[in-house]
Amino acid sequence: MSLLAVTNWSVSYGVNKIIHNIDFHIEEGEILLLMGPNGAGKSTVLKSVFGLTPHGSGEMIYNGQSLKPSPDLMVKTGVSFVPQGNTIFSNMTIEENLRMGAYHEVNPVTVEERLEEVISFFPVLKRKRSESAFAMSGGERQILALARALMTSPKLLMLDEPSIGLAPKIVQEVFEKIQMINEEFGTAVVIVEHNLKSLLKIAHRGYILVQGKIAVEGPVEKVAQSDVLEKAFFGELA
Amino acid sequence: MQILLNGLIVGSAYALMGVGFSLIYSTVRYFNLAYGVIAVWGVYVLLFLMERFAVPFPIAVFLGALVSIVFGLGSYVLLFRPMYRRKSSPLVIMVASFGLLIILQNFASLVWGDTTKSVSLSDQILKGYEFFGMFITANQLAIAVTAVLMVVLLELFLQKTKIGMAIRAIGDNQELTKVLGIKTETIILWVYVLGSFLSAVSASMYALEIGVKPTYGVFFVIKAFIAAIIGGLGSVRGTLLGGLILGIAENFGVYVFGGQWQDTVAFVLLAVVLLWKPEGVFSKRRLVSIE
Repeated sequence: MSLLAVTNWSVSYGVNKIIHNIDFHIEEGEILLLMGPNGAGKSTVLKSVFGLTPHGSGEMIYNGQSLKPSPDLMVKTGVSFVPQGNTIFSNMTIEENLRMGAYHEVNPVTVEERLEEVISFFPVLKRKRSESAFAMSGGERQILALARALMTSPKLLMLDEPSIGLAPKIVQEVFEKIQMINEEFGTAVVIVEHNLKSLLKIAHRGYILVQGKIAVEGPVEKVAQSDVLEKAFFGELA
Repeated sequence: MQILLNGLIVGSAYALMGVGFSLIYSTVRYFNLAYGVIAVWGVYVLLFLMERFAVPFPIAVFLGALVSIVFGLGSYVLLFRPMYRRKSSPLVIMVASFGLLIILQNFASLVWGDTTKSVSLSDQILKGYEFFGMFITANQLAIAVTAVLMVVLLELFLQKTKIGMAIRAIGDNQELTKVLGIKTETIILWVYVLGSFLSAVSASMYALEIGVKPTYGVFFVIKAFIAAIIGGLGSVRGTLLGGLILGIAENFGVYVFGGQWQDTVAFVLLAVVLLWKPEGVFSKRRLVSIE
């Protein structure tokens, strides 16, 4: 049984259909890559499944249960989302940012335990835990966003372009952390990403989206050999 | 020194008023001009309870503030929230809030009359206190003590409670709070409760000095607005300091130029801040012009 299975999924903005009846699934503990050219609808798929944008039709089964996408429900059932770009509360301290990740946790003891576990996993955050997040570098901000997403002990982590705006060396560090999260906590990860070269080494499976439809799917080695992305970038699939 | 003390005391009332205004702005990003008149309604209820039922001042302040909370929540749920959900521009919502200000002000005139009514701590004349060559009246002492108490409680609430942290988070990055599964509309309701309470308490305290009349709603919202701009919109600590600066500047202005220049001093100060540091004197953020 898949951790998350989405069938016949469509998303429309007004009269424009962006995502066309796609099916996809995520297995427990795997890293799934969602690729495609600009405007293919990759981020839209992720946001609609999490409930950040309304979806038109389709069914979602998470952990054996049918779910209606809504951020608070998703978080409570063990899904965390890290949006692209604007990822932290810059007027709060690093520790406060992390605590916000556990907003729905009612047991304060669990929050404290989780905080210590997460913060010891990210040494850069441990050193600066009481400092303001305002002065953090782009890479540190992304690490903080990842750490905050782990505060709920999620089964599934959704990452929307985690490398955006980061220097290549930092991107590598962020991807290594994603792999460590996957291996250490067994968290399934779905990543929407442009920066494919490094991710192909750590991902297990992938989908290529072109104009709101799935063009290729399968093990990442197979997807990497596909010429669909190249054709899509050069407009040959338009 | 006496002028400084007077300025600090008036400024503490402005600071409280500004903090509520700033909190609401930071979460919804529109100016709520009805904020002051909602506070005025709280003061009238306080006065009514004291005169009609001899309710002690502190309890009457609290009950008056509860009425302001009802007005504040009502204005949000019935007027601002539907506009906010329809993604009306902040300018349109501000104009609507101005309309509400006029309606509530006229309604207050109808119910309570147009004349200024004085508010006092009790029926008896209370003696003042002298220290280090300065004199402080019982009213001023009540304002200062209330302001300090409210600020401490507010800081504790915002720093230590989940809802307080969510309020700060929404003010910082509302989109991100949605990603964390926080129901922003529920938190905004809490902000209206808090903002309306602060406005009513600060207006009640300031009414000890100047009394109350329906048009004071405009006066209160202007002072709150200036304090918030000086300190940095959305910054609680900045707005507190902004209110104190405003109170001190006004008192020195009155001492030098005369009482009729009080508002002019406030607006000159506002203009200077907007020219020199438009993001607010105590704000870490920088405003960037769009060309």
